[in-house]
Amino acid sequence: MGLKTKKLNWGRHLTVLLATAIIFAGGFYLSNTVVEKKISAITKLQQGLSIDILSLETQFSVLSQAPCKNLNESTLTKELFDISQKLESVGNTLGKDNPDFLMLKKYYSILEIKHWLLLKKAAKDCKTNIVSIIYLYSDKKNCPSCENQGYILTTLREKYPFLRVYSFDYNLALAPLDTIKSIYLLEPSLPITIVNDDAFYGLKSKEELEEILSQYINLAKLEEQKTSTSTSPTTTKAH
Amino acid sequence: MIIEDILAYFSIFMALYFAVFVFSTVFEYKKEIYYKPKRKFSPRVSLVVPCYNEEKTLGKTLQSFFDLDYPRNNLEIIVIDDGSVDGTLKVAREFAQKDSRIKVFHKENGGKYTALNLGIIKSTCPYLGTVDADSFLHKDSLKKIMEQFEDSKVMAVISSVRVANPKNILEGVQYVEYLMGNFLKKVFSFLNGINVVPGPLSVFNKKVFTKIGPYKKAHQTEDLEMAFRMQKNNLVITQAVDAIVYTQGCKTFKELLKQRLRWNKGGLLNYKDYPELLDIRKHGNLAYLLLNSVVGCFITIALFIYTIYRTLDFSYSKLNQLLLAKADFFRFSFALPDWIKFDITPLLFLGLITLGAFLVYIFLSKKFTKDPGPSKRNVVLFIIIFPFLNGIFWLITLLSILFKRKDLVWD
Repeated sequence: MGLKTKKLNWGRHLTVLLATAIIFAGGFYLSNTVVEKKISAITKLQQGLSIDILSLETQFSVLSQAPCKNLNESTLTKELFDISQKLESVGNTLGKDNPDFLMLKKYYSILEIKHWLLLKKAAKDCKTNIVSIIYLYSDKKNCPSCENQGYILTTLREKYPFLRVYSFDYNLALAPLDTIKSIYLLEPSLPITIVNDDAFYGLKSKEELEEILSQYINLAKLEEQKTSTSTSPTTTKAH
Repeated sequence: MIIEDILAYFSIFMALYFAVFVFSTVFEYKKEIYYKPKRKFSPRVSLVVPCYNEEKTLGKTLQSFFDLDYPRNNLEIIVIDDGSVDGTLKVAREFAQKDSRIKVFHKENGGKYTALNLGIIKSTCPYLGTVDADSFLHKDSLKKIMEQFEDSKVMAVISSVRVANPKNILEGVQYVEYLMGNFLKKVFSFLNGINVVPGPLSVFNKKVFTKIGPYKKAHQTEDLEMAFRMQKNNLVITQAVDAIVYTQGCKTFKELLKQRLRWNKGGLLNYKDYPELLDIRKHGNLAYLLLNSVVGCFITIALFIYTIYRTLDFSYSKLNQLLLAKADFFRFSFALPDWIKFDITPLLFLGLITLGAFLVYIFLSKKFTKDPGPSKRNVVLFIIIFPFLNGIFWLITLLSILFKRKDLVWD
């Protein structure tokens, strides 16, 4: 055994630094590869969903002369919910300001609006008992209570599966969203909850929302229906 | 967000850098892991056992000396009773009656370093080993250590310390920690950067004490200070990775906390006493390794505080939401999302790579130290529990230094 010198081997440290940098780059490369796959999977899902929306529109047109009872949008609602969750994850991965994420988010928001319009028409034409809520949120910095409002809406939606909640980022630059804002003459005081056609500002508790909802629908009846029918809700995640 | 990202990436980079550094060093010196003596070398050596209230374990320690594979007449055993108030002295004298090689000395309580120094004075051999009274030597340990002194430049040889019979969770965690520590000391030895001469078993050429003086109080970490002083004076310390000594792990959290606060605080204060050791130009590898451990302490504290903050923040927001929605807690869903819903970030991959490096590290530690353990259970427990324990210990150490709370550290 030769006794070792204390002298620092700069060459070794340089090699180690290089090897560590390569490992680091490998970590980034791997994550980027997975994220790309993830984005392409979500894009495919959204493309599929747009076909579903189109199908529903067509179905609706075909059925416009026929009884409304054959209208079934629950599968679509479930898909919309799935996409919102996956989109949430993409946002966490890429960052909320990432252009790819923002593009997907805009696309998703448009799909939500289309779904909402269809449902409104169905409610009108077929006199169904579906109540829709439009929920406008913003990030934690601009709207500290939005996260809590989102959670309350999620709970309500779980309680009343026939309730449809459409959530939108208030600051998302999207023309149809701006139109909704102008139709309802919305002020930027978040969170905003629009139940059917009435807008409510600020954090609304579960009880307050239930009281508002009871003006439009028989909640007790909805709870009864929930026990006999199973559907999946749309999301109310707010970030 | 930016600060936490910087902290996370920096921590992982440092951990990976160190892992690559360790692996490359081992790869370079893999043929020199075990010392191959050129000739039989078993000179006279004194084993000094400082004791304070060790009646329960001293007998086993002394018994392990009898079983050593070492020339009987070249072994001197010196027991120093540092004013014990239990039956330690009685046990020592009983053994001394059985074996004339054992010499027992009693003194007033003055601390471990004073007992060791009395042992140095009483020793009649050219080499002196220190053995804690709660440690038991493997029969080959002394032989393996003494072989390395055939090179006259070697001034101290340290052993591999194993936790004896780990039973509870804490002992299991310490078992893995000691295992990795032994491997790391071997790596440090390749770089001439050993920074401690552990109490359970270390042997010195007695010229060390002539050259640099006896043990000092050194913030109750005399084994650390002695290594620092030796390094300062360029006295060579090596390790015999196959010289095994068994020690008692701390059985309770309180015991472990007390021990770690002593070690941590002693470590930092010794750094303060020997700042020149951190000079890369003068002490090269040693300085790098010491600086690495200092940075490691601060990373540990920062990560621990951040983890606590995030846990509390998360719990608060969940509790708040539960109260807001007046939801039934049991309606919470704990189902795992599918792969697409996982947050895939570079940190996740780098974290997994670091975990992989860590497992390789444990594997190499086990292989090179010829350790029969550790059990998979202990490895898993170590990975989960140790970072938190270490974080708690370092945070309390830092607070006790900042607020000069001696009572948090000393008895």
